[in-house]
Amino acid sequence: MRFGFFIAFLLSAAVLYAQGPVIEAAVNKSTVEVGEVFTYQIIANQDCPVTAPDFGELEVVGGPDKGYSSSSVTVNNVTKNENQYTLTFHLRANKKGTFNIPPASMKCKLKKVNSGESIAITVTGSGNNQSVNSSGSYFLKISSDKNSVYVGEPFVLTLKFYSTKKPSQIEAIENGNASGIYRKDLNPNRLNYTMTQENIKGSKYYVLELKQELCIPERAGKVTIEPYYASLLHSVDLFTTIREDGKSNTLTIDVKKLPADTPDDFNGLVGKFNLIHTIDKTSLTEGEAIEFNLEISGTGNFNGFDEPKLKLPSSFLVIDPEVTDETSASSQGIKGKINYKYFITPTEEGDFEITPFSFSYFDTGEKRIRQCVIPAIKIHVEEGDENRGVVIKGQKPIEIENTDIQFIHQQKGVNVNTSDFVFGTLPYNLLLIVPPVLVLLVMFAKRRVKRSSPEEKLENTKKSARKNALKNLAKSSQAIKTGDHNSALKMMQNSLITYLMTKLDLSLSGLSLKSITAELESRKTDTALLLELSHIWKKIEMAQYAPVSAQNLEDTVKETIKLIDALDGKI
Amino acid sequence: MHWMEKFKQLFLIVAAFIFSVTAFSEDKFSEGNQFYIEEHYKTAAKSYEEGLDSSHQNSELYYNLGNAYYKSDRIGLAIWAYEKALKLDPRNEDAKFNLEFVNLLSEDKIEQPDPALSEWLKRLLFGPYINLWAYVSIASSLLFSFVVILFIITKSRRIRNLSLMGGMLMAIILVFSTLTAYFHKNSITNESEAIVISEEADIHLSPMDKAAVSFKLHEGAKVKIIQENDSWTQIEVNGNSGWILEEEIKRI
Repeated sequence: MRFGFFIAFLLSAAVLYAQGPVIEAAVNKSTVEVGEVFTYQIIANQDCPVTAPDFGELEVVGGPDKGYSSSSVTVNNVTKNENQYTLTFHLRANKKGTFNIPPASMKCKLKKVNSGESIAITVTGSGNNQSVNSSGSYFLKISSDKNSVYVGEPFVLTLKFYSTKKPSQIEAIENGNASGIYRKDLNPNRLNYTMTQENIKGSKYYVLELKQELCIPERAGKVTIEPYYASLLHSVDLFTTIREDGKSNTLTIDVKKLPADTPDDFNGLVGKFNLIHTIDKTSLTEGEAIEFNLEISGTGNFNGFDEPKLKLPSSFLVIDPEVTDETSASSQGIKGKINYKYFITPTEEGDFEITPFSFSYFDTGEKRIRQCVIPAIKIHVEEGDENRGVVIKGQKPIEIENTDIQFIHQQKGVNVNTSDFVFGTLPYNLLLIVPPVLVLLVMFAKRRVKRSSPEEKLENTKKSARKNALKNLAKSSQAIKTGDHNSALKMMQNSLITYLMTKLDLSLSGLSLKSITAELESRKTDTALLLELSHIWKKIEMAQYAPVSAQNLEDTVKETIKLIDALDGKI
Repeated sequence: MHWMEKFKQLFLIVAAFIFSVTAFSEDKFSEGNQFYIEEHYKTAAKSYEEGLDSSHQNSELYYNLGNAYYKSDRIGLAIWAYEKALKLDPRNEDAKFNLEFVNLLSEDKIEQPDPALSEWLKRLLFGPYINLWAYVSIASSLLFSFVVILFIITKSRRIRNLSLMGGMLMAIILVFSTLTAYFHKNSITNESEAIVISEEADIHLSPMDKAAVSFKLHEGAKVKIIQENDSWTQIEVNGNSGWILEEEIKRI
């Protein structure tokens, strides 16, 4: 039972209910030969996105084909509608072995379901023989109208299906591989297929021509066309159809080399060709355009024909041609004509003789190389009217004919003495490092001063008390010289008071000669110094009320300086 | 006055020596050029070689020497000379062109890491003046210090802001120029690569004549030097390493 497994699967698929998403997968054959095409089908009960499995080393030769069917089932007077969505792939194994097809999956409203276990496919045999069903009731055959051709010579390949039963529907046709051959379907949109009958070994066969292809070999040697696959259906009765599928025979074509001694303008064209040209004028003025038409007609491998490159003087400006391709594939090869329309503009005056184009081809009838050439054309170009404006001569890429190294240099340039390197030398390192390091040290010192404790700050202030006092006394002395005695006295008094306050840790409130003397006595200061302090203090107080001479004030300043100097070492 | 006289004498001797070395080198350069123009390429190469000095090097001299070697069919030496010329002056466009041209003639395909970015940086930063970046770094160090002092002593907010920005800029220039000066010096003085100058060189598995040959290299192949052992040098090329005779390579 060839389809047993597949039919059983189809029956099981019929019980898929609509309540929840269900997906199943099956193959029509689990054991196939190398190159044999088999069918893998996914069936789902809901129209949700299906993810086909990774077929791995199995080649997908057809599909996916989508299908849909609906049916109603009535059980106990309750009718249920059942939908069936199918996705069919045609697969082929290209080597022997066992291949696993992982489950397919479907996602419905965030719910993901899969088709159960993997399906194992066992691939046996070489698969090179033509596939025929066990009873020999049908087979596929490819044939060629020529068994031996030249490179580039067309031949026609025909795929036919032979069956004792009349086929009713073509399901699939897949081409076999054939490297080194250009192939073109002669009826790509065929709708009508002709069916004939043939008597083969006493049996009557229906013969259906499935495909005709124009083939043009591109290389010499034995070229193999691998089996084609086709799948057809025939109806047994109104409700039953049977699939007949398989692959054809392999075809080998002997492709002969073209003659080795070919001219430069031979580009592999094979067939029979003709070249004609038209030119609208041969005498013109500079800057005027010539319309030049080339028409290549005939039958052969037009597919190998490159756009003509005209050989023209460099002063002739030519733009890309307008191409009109009227060729079509036929059983004799590619037939028709191609027209190239050029507009050529001579940009210099003079008489020119041009042979713009030629090509050679291999004549399959005469079995020799023939050349199509445009005879020399004389073109007379007169000097253009200067008033017509500037003639654009066009630009061409510079063609490099030879390459060599650049020439020597005549100027010597800068000498490099490796011992002249400044980097890494001691002076360099010092100049690089010392300035920032010094700056960093200054910054560090400044920060230290800022961050010192109140005791340290007080100590620093005490240390600088004498210095500040002397500075103020110097200012006082300056004021005396300018005659500003009041300011001089105030400065003198302030400098003495500030000095004593700082040194003796006294506050301004309650500051008096008495409190200062008491503090000095507690520090065991000489009595002579105490008397001197008292004397100066009173002298400054007195001077504020009774005018004194500048000399007296100067003396008082000197006495104060002397006193501060004497006190500074002792308190 | 006695020490002044001595100093004067010393200065004159040094100046005369520098002048004579330079003049000699200049003579050999012109002499080589003359031979080259007269198509006496081997003689030209000899003159250029004589013009080279272990301490005095010149990109143009190496470039012309490379041309003379190439014209004398000494591909390996030509590649070496162009590499040296480019090392001294990465902006020597003709040396770059000729090196690429001659490299195509060498037999071995050497896989090189994509040099586009490093070449571009070298051409941008490494000119013929070898101390340029060193001087820039010293100048930026001094300016940086000055700007920082300004920042410390000034009480003007505007000057403080400007000096802060200037200090940051100078610090960046200082780091960049110091690194560039280092790499420039390193690129000229470091001889970590070499060119095979013998027609065909056997690369041995160990530094011995009898050691098995691991692979062969041909003239012009660029190799990386790993270490030395007497007259042998361990090299690496395309991820393979082996020992080659020192005389068969020339260090770049």
